[in-house]
Amino acid sequence: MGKEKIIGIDLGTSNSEAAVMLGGKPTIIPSAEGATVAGKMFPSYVAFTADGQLLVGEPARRQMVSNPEATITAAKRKIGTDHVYHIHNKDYTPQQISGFLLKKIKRDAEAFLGETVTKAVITVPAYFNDNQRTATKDAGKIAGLDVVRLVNEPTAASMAYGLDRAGEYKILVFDLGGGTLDVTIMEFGGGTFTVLATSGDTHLGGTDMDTLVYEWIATEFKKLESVDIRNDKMAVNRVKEAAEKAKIELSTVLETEINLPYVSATQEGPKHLSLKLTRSKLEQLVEPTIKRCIEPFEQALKDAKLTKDDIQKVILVGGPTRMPVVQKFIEDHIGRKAERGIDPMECVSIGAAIQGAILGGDITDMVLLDVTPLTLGIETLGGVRTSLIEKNTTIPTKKSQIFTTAADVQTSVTVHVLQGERPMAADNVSLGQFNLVGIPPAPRGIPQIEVSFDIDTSGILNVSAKDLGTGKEQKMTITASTKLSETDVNKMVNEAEQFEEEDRKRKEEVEVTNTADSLIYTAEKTLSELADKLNPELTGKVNAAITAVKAALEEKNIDKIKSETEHLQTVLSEAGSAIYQQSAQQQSAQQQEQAAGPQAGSAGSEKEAGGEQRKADEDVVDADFEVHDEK
Amino acid sequence: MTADHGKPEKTQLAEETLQLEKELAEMTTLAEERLNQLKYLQAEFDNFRKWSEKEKGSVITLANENLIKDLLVILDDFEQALPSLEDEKDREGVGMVYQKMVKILARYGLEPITCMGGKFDPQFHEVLCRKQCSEESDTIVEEIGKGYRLKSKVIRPSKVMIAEHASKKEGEENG
Repeated sequence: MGKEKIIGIDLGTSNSEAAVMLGGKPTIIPSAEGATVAGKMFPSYVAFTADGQLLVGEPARRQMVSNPEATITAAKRKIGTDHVYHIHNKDYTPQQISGFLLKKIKRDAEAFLGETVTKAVITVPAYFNDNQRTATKDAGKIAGLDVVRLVNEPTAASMAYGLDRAGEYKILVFDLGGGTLDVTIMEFGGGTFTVLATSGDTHLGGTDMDTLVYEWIATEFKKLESVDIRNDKMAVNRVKEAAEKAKIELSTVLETEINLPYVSATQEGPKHLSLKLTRSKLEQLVEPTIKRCIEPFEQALKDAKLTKDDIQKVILVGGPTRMPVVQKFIEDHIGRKAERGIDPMECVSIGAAIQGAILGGDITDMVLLDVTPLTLGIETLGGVRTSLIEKNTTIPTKKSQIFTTAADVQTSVTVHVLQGERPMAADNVSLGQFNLVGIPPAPRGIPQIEVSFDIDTSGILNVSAKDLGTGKEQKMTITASTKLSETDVNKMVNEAEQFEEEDRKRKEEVEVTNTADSLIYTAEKTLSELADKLNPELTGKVNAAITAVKAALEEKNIDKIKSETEHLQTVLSEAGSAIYQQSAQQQSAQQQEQAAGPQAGSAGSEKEAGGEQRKADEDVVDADFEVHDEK
Repeated sequence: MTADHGKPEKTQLAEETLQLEKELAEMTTLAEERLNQLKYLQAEFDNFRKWSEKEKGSVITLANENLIKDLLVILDDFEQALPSLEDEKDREGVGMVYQKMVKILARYGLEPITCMGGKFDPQFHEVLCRKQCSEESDTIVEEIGKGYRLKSKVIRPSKVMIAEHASKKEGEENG
C-alpha cells in the first residue's frame, strides 16, 4: 500500500505530456494512442464528431481537415477568457476543453500506473495571470484532478535540472515549441524562483522550419526533373514526412539523404527524388526562423534590466532546441553553454513530476540515495582484483562472497581492500588491509572464508572476514570509500578504459598460471593417493605432463603453459578412465577423487565472474588469498 | 542538612525525568516516522518491481516497433515502383521481393490498415483533404499514404481523401 502518486502535467498549446516519479526516477507517461515522430507528447486537440463522439489527442488531429468547425486546438490561448466554443449547438468553455485533455492524461496515467490518479501538478506559462491560473485549476477539477499546485513552465524546467537545490543565480529559459516561443528570465535564491521578465512570439516554432525544408525539396526537385510535386498529393505526403525526418536526423548527423524512389511519374517514365541535405544547408534554410528569435530574446533581457553577462544558467526547452543551430544561436548570444542532459521536450513535465513527488512527500531529505563511484573488491591469488561491489551500485548495500585458501595448511589470510576499475590489484587504490588468523590447518581449497562488504548510507564501508569453520571474525571500517573527488573518479574510469586490453592480457596470464598451478596440485594429489591403482605407464605419462607444465611455468611462456595444461588435463582424464575400468568397489572410492579434478580447474577460471554473489558450498572460489606469514 | 539538600535534588531528579521522558517521546515519534517511511519505501519498491516487470513484457512485445516503423518507407517505395515497371518479368520479380518482405513483417504482427471505400475512422485514418462527389460523406475515396498496425497498435495512420456530399451533410446536421 503506497502513497498516492501526484503526476506532473505539461499542458501545452500544441502538445501535452505527463510524467510521474517511479522508483525515484521521473518517467514519461506514454499516450494510449502511441507516440508521435518527435517524442512522447500528444497533440492538444479536442474534437466532436457529427455522430456525437468526443475525440482527444492524435485521433482529433487526424480528422481536423474533415471537421474543422468542431475541432479545437490551442485552447490554452483562450483559457481564462470568456471565450465560448459553439459546437453542434452546445457551448464549451476553454476550461472544459482543457479538461478533456486532462481527463485523457488521467486515463493514460491510470492505465500506466495501474492505480487511481486524482492529484496533479500542472504547469502554466510564467506570464499567466490569476484568471488564467484559476481557469487551469478549474480544468483540472472538471477532469477529476485535484490540482495540488500550478508551477511555471520555466520553473519546472529548472527543477528538472535540479536548479532548485542550492545556490543563487539568474536563469534564462528559452522555450521553442512546435508553434510558440517563450523566453523567461528568472532569479533563484533562498529556495524560490522569481520571474523577472517574459517575452515571446506566439507564432514561431518548429512547424515553420518543417515548411521551409519541404519547400526547398520541392523547389530542388522541380529544378532537377522539371516536375512540380506540389500538385501530387501522394508525393507531397511522402516529401513532408521525409522532410521532418531529415530535420530530426540532422541534429545528430552532419549529412542525410532524402531518398524517395518513384516519387512521381511522367510520360518519360518514373522520377526518383534523391537529395543530399547537409546540416549547414538546413541551418541556412531555417535561418529566417532563428532570426526571429533574436527580438524576444533581447526584449526579455531589457525588461529584466539585465545584460547577457548577468545570466548564470541557460535552459533549453522544446523539440526544436535539439537542433545544434538553435543551441549555437542561444549560446553565442548569451556567451555561455546551456544546461544539458535532459530531453528538452520532456523537461517541463519531468519538473512537474518532481514537484509532485516533493508535495506528495516522496522526496525527503532523509535518504538521499547515493551510488559508489568505483568498484570495490579484494586482492586474490596472483594479484588479481576480485570485485564485490560493482561501480554505480546504489547504497546502502551489502555483498558477501566465500573465498578459500591458496596453500595447504595456510592458517591466515590477508584481506586487501581495493577501489578502482582495473582488473589487477596493483593498479587500483588500496583502501587498507587486515589479516584473519587462526584458520585450522587444512588442505588448500577446504576452508571457507566469508568476506562481506557493507556500505551504509553515508558511504562508510565495513569489511569483515569470517572463517565459517571456526566462526573467527576480523573487521575493518573504511570511511573514505565514496569520498573521492569527481576528477579522481573520472581519471580512474578513463584509465581503466585506456588499459583495458593490456589489463585483460595480464589478468589472463594470471588466470592461466592459476589454473596450471591448481591442476598440478590435483594431479600430484591424485598420483600420491592412487599410486597403487594406476599402471606404471600412465603414472609416467602424468608425471611427464606435470614436469612439462612446471617447466612452462618456469619459462613464463603463457601459450606454452596453456597447451601444457591442456595436455596434462587430457592425460589426467585418461588416467581417470583407466581407474574407472577397474572394480566396482574401487570405482565408488575413486569417483570422489576424480570430482576434485574438474572442480579445481573450473574454479580457477570462475574468477572472471568475480562480482557475483555466490552461495556457499559448491561455489567456493578457489585459492584466493596470498599466503601470509604469521609474525 | 539532608532536608536542605533533599529538595533541590528531588526537583533536579524530576526535571531530569521530565527531560528524559520528553526525549523518549521525541525518539519514539521519530522511530515511528522512520518506520513509516521505510514501509512506504518498501511498498514503492515493490510497486516499481511490478511495474518494471509489466514494462518488460510490453518492451518485448513492441521491441521491433521502431525498426518496423523505419522499414515502412521501403514498403512505400516498392508500392510506388511496381506499377512503373514496364517489363513484366521485372514486375513479377520485384513483386515477389515485395511480397516476401510483407510476409516477413506480417509474421511480426504488421498488417496494413484497410481503408478504400470504407468510412473514415480517426482511430486509423488521417484526413489530408476532402473531395466533393456523389459518395456518402466521410467515405474514403483515395488512399494517399498507406497506414499500418503492429499487433493492433496503429504505428502509422492511413492518409486519406474523403468524400464530401454537400446535400447529405446538411441532412445530417438537421437530423
